[in-house]
Amino acid sequence: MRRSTGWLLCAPALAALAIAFVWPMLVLLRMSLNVTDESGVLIPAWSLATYKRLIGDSYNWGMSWDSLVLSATAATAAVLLSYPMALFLFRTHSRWRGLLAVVAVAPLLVSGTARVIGWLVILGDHGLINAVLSFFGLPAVTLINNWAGVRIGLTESVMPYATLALLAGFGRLDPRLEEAASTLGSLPIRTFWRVTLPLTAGAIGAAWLLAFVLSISAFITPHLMGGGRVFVLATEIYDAATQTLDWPAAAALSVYTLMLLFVLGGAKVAISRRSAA
Amino acid sequence: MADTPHLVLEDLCRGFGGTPVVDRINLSVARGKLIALLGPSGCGKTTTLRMVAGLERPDSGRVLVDGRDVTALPSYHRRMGVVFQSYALFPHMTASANIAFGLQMQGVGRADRRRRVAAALAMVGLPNHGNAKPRTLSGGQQQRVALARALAIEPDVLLLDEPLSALDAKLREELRAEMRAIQLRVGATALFVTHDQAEALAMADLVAVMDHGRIAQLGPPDEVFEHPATPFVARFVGRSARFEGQWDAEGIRVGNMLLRTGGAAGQGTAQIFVRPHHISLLGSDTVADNTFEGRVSAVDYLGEVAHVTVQTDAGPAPIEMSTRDGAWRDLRAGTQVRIGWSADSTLWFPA
Amino acid sequence: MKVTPLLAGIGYAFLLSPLAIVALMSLSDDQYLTFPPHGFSFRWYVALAHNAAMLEAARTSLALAATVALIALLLGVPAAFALARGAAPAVVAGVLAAPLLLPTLVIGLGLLMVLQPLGLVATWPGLALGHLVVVLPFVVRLMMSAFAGLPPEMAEAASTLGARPWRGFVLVTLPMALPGLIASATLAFLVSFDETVISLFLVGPRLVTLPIALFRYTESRTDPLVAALAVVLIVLSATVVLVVDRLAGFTRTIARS
Repeated sequence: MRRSTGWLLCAPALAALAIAFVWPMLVLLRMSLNVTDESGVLIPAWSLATYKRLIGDSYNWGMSWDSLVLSATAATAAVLLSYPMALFLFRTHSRWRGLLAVVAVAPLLVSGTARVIGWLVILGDHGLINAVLSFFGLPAVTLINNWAGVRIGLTESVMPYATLALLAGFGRLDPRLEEAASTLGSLPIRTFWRVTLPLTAGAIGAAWLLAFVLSISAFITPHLMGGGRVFVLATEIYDAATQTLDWPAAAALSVYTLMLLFVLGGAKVAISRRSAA
Repeated sequence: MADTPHLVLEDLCRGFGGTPVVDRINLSVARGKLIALLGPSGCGKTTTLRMVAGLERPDSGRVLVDGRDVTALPSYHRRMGVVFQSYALFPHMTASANIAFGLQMQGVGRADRRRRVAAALAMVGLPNHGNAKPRTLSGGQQQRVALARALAIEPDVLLLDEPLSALDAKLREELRAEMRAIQLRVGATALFVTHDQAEALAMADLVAVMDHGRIAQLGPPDEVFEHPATPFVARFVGRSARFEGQWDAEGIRVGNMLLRTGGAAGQGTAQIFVRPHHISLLGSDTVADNTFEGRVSAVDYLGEVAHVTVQTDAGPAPIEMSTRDGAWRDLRAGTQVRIGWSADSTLWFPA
Repeated sequence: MKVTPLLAGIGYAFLLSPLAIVALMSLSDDQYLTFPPHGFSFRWYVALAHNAAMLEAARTSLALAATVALIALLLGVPAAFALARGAAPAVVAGVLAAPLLLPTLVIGLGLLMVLQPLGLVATWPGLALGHLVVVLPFVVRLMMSAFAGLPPEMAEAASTLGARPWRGFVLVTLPMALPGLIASATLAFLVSFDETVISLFLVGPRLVTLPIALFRYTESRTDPLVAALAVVLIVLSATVVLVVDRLAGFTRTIARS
C-alpha cells in the first residue's frame, strides 16, 4: 500500500478527532485566558488573570493538595490489593486462570455509577457494614458523603488498571528465579523480599503512577461518594463549569490538571524506560 | 514463437534501505520449462520471485512475458499463478472456493467455474476434498490445493516460493515428483524458489544458483553439480571434500601430496573440491590419480548409502559408499584407510 | 505457605463486592436501600420496566451507542488497516490513541465550550461527536491488532489471483478480520452505552442517556430501582466482555499503557 493511500485511509479518523478532540482542547486552552468580572460575566481577553486569581486563593492550594493525597492513598491501596491478584494470576497454571484474569479486569467496563451504587449499599448509614456493627452492638460509622467513602470507592475503581499494569510489568519476572531461590533454601518470605519484590519494582511503580493519574482524573466516584462534601480538582472543574458557570476558571483548573498529568506521564515513561532497560 | 523466451528478467534490481537485495538479475526461460532459483536465505531469490509476481516493484530493470513488458502491471493484472511458502489458503473458504476465487475474479461463469474447479481438484489428486476447509486438510493436501488454485487460472507463469519447505522429508520427496509431473503435463512455465539443492536438482530444467543478489551460475542441474562455476556454487550445491594447495609445475601441492587435475594448469593458491561420490576407498594394490591417507572419523549409515568421513592431513574428506556389499561394516572410527579419486573429478578454483 | 492466593482472594472480594451487593439489593422488597433487605421480590425490576423516563433514556442510549459504534467502525477500520500495513506513520496511531490519555472530564468540558455556542448541546450530533472521541481510539487499537495478526500473504494471494485491492480487502481481509470486527463493534457499543462523564456536559432535559439518568437518580435518592438498573448495566457489560474475550482476548484488548 502506498503512503498516499495510507494517509487517505487515516484522514477521516484524523479529521473526526481534529473536530471532536483537538479543537475542543484548543478552545479550552483559549478559554482559560479569558476573565470573568465580579458579577460572573465572561469577558474575552488574552490574560493570565484567571490563573493569578486561582493561584492567589489558598483554598485552591488546599483542594489541590487534598486531591493529590486522595489519589496517592487510593493508588497505594489499589496497588497493595492488586499486587497479590496479579502475582497469583501470573503464577497460576489453573484452568480458571483466563476467567479469573477477565474477572479481575472486567469491572473497568462496568458503569462507574453502578459500582458506586454498590458501595453506597455497603458503606451507607443503613448499609452492610453498619448492619454488621449494630448486630454486634457496636456504634455506627459514617462511610459515605465523606473522604473515607471516596477513598474506598476510588481504590476499587482503579484496581483493574493497576492489575493490568502489574501483569504487563511482570512479563520480565521469571518464575524459575523464585524456584531457584527456594531450592537454594530461601524461605518464601525471604524469596519475596529478596527476589520477587525487587524484580517487580518497576511494575509496581508503573501501576502506582497509572492508578494515581486515573484517580486524579476520576469524577464520578468523588462526586457521588462525596455527596457534595468532598472537594477535589475534578469536582471543582465540574462545579465551575456547570454550577457557578465560571468557564475561564473551569478551563484554567483543567489546564492545571492536565499539566500535573503530563508531569506524571513523563515520570511513568521514565520508569518504564528504566525497568525495560 | 518457440525461440522467443516465455519469461525474461532484464537487469532486475531491488534494494531495501540502501542494501541491494537483488542485483542485476538476468534470466530467460523458455516456454514450458521449470527454472529453479537456488540459494541460501537472504540471497534475493524470494524478492526476485515477488518482483515477477508483481508483489514487489523493482528499482530498475524489466520483467517480460512473451516479449510484453509487465513491469508496471500490478499483480492482479499479471495472471501469475503463485504458490506461497505458507500456501496462503483463505481459511474462511472451502478448498473449492479457494480454487474458484481466481476464476471468479476473471469473471468465469458459474457452470464453467464448477467444471474447472473439479478438474483442478482431480489434477492434484483431491477430487473429494472440495468442501473441506483448509485447516481440516493435512499439510500435503493444503499444498495440493494451493497448487490447484494457482493452476486453475491457467496462469502465464507458475511461481513457486519454497512450496515444499513446510512438509516433512518423505512427503516432500513424493510431492516434488508429483508437482513436476503436473507442471510438465500442463506445460506451464515455472519459476521455483528453493534453498534445498536436492529439490532444485531433481525438479528443474535449469538451475540458477543465487548469491548475494546475483546469479552465480545458470545451467542444467548436472552441469551446476559437476562443474560449479564458483567456489560458492561448489560449496552450496552438494557436499565436497575441500583442500587448499599451491600450484607447481606438476600439479597442486597439498602438504607433501601432489594432486593432478584434468584440464589446464594454474598458479598460486588453489581451492580444491572433490564430490563425495567420486572418492573411493582404495585397496592396498589399487591406484588412482590422486590418493590420500587418513583415518575414518565417522560412519553414518543412511540406508542405501553410508556417509564416511575420513580425516586426512589436509582436512576432512566425506565419502559416499554404497551399502550393497556391506564393506562399510568394516570401517570403524580410527580405521586407517587410503582414499583416491580421478584427476577429472578434481575441481579447483584460484583462491 | 499459600499466602498469595489468600491475599488475592481478599483483592477479588474487595473488587467484586459492590457488584455482588448490587445484584442482591436489586431483589430487595423494601422501599429503600437498607441492609439486610426485609424480603425479596422482582418489584423493582417491574418498576424499572414501567419507568417512562428510564425507558426513554435507555432507547436514547441504545440508538446512540449503535450509531456511534457504526461511525467509529467506518472511520476507524480504514485507519487501522493503513496503520497495520505500515502505510501511515506510527505517530498517527499515537494521535488516534491520544484521547484515552486525557481525563474525560476535561474532554467533556472542552466539547461543551465548542458545542454550546453552536447550539449542539443536547443534540444527537453533539452527543455522538462526544462519544466518538473515546470510542474511536478503542476501535482503532483493536482493529490494528486484528489486521496486524493476519498473514500479509493472504492479501497478496488474492491479488495474484486477480483481485483488485478493494475486492481483495472485502473478500479476504475483512472476513478474516471478522472476529476482531465483531469485538470492536461490541466494545464500541458498550463504551458509548456506558459513557457518563462526557455525556454529563452534553445532555439536556430533552435528551438524556441511561447512565446520566442513573447518575442523576443516584445524586438525589437511592432506592432498589437504581440497583435493578445497575444490574441491567452490569449484565450488559458482562455479555460484552464475554463476546470480546471469545473473539479477541479481553485483557489483551483492554490494556492501556
